Amino acid sequence: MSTAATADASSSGDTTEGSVRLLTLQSEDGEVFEVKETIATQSVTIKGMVDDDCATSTIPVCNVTGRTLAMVIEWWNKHEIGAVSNEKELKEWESQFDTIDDKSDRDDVYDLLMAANYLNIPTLLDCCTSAVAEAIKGKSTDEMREFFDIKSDFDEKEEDALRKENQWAFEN
Amino acid sequence: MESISDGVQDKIKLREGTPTRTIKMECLPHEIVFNILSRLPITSLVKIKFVCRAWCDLTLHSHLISSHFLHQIENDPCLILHSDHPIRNQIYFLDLSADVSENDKRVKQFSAPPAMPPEFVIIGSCNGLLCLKGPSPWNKLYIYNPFTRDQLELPGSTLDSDKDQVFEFGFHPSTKEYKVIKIVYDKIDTLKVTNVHILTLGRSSSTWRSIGNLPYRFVHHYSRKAFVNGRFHWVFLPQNLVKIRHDSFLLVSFDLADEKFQEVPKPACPGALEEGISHLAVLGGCLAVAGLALHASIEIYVMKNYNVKESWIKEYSIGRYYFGRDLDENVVVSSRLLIPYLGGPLRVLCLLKNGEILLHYMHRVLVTYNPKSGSFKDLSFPGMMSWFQTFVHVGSLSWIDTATAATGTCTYCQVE
Repeated sequence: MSTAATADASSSGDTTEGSVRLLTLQSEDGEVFEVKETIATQSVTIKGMVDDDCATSTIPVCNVTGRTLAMVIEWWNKHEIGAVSNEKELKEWESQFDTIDDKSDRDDVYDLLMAANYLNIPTLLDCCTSAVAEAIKGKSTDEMREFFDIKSDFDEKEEDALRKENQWAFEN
Repeated sequence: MESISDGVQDKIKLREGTPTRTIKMECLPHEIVFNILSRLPITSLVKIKFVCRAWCDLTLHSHLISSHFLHQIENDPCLILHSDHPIRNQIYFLDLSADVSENDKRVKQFSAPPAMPPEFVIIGSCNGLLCLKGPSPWNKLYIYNPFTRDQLELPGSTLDSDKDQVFEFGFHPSTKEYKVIKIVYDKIDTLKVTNVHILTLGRSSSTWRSIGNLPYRFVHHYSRKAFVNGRFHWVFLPQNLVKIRHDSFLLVSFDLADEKFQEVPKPACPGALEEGISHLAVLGGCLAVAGLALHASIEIYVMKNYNVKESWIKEYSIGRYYFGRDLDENVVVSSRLLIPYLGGPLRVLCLLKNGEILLHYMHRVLVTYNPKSGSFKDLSFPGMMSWFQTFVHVGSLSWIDTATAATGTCTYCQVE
């Protein structure tokens, strides 16, 4: 995080838009986002800062990139009370987060998991853990290795024994 | 609708560019990883274990094992199937959990247990562990988790030629101890003294200790027992009773913590426990008695509040079941596994999460009964054998020492 970016962002911290206070969040890679306090406090971490009066200047969101933070804010916007008219519509919208079709989705969900964990956003965390679990279900050990880019580090003898003793787990 | 398509637009816009990094599962905080893994059906969790060493290590954490166990007992069970046909002495499983993906909804076969005699019977299942017994005259017992292949050999029990014995395997949630109970009775005359022995697992010097004589008359043919609230339940007769009437039978529990036998209130219907026409079961964590009634229907009494006589209610009345297909008559089963169809051809296995009752017909077919519509449905899965014993099981990576975390609130613990 560059000092220039921090200084620049802190000047814009704690602004208000109408009667709604805006919070300034800064991603790990220096991107700055202004978010309504009512929305950002869906994060238990941020809510704690607001309650302790620690959210007056720029809030650094460590370990979360601007790209991921944008997705998190999108999630907050949709989950703000009154943003979506009914539960069904919200679930349909969430489905873009809870299915992992390819490795790019996989890495997005991983990024979101880290962000949801750091910011403590229970709804997002639950959605992403469920997405990873769904992606694992139904895959054989070999398919899991392929999908998660993992090379087996068991030696040949161990691998043979695993396959022999647990044949069902290697069949599809 | 408009806002939904907006959402999809957002996805495309949001995901321009590539993710910044590839995070490895083992680098995620453990709390998150355990949250993910504990949602998996046992089949996927075992496969995870074989991916690489780091993932294998994750599956060994006792925290994961107990949270996965607690997730599983909220789900439909994993059935353990023991069959002699077509191949002798094979163990299979069928996971009925809703988490199981379509291509895992089939009967799968376990490799032979390590260091187990080629012939064995399954005594029972408790908290994801099976208790197996090797052949006579050694009668060695084994505790075995078929998903981890962990195995523990227990001291054997040789027998005098005029005696026979039954074993039960269970866990008490307050003492957090697994115990095996052994009842040794006279083959010919059950009025003769019947001895009771206990083996506590996990102690360094596991040996059988006698806890005296059974204060009841053992009922030889009453082959169904049930395990509820840390207690085994059997049907016995009063001691020294010679003339047996249809209402003489007693419901008796054995508490695994204080090791005492105690009579439990029985259903109001006087003949409900009669030998040969009824069997005990566990339905949704409650003790139940299933009895044959007129026209081969089955009546199921359930004790809603444990040990409260007034809470026994006749909850289900199941009409006669007709099996629609011809049964394979060429099934060869060894006498070792051949258990007569005491209590009728339909055996109650458990209550499923959708409110249906899972039944086993003639050791041949799995059947569900829907109490609302009163209809039966044959369950057919790829790989199903034509004759098998069924054990309601919790698919888990648990072992004897992980039980302290998993509190044994399992509602399925049941013994054959």
